[in-house]
Amino acid sequence: MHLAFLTFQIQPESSAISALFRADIDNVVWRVADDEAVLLQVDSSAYFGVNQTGTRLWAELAERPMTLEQLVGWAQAEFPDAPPSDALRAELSAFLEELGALTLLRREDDNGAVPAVVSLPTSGKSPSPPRWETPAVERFGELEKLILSGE
Amino acid sequence: MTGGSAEAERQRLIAKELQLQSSSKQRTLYFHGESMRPLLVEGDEVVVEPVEWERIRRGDIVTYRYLDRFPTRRVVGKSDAGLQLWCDNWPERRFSAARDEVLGRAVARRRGKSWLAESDLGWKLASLRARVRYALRTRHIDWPETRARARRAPAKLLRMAGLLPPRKKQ
Repeated sequence: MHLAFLTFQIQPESSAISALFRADIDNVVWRVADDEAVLLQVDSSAYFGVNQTGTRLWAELAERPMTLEQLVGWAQAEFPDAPPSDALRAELSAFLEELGALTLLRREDDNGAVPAVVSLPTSGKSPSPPRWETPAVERFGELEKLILSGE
Repeated sequence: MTGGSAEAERQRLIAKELQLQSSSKQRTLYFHGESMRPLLVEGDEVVVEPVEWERIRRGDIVTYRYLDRFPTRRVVGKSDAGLQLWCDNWPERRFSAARDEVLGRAVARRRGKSWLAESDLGWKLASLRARVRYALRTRHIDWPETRARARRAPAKLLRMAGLLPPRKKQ
């Protein structure tokens, strides 16, 4: 996974630019509380917190694989106060990289197929549009084996 | 994301609930205590599955949220408000859980290398025994229902022993 993201960093103009990223929903379960997601990596029992913007991005990536450019387009439509394209791309790229480094994200093979994205959400779904903040994910720790209390 | 220790504790609790709900035979949970003896004893490994409210039945063993703990007890009553529970080994005590506190139902147990699943005869007999004990203790016996169950019992026992095909679900 790390190597894949190094490739992504080193060769932004190559095929990596059209690579599809998807939340690793086979190994991560998650729940949103107060607009922020808590992620649990099932295999390792590590858990993570994602801020509000990151949570919306995560939900999109859990729904379907997306390229960086698709994410940029989605964020521009969803967040009226999102930064300009270049800055936005850099923030999203850093977020994807962080998710990748934490092995929360899968990079799907780019075989030239048309992505499965058919319709991106449009802005204005809610009365007050969400505010942009730099998406972030934080590793909180690792859970021990859970104890069911009989006492 | 981290607004202090209370927030951190809340996030940890959510993660624990996620851990509980993703348990499986490969990722079991520990049972602590003697309250559910003999079916569950200290150190048993348990699998808990998410369960729809409508599918919870008397005799099931459910896990629910109570502060930062996950009590695991047997259902002896159910109403719109929630569940009434007891522990097989503490028949004098009663517990309750609101509907939104219920997290899942215990469906299998491993002790050593031996698995016992809710579909196994031993699990079902433990459930039956607990319900009978509860009924006798509370003297809350629904005689028409009891007679109807008694009529169905021979066929049910034969099904449990695999000598009759399972009933078709309606």
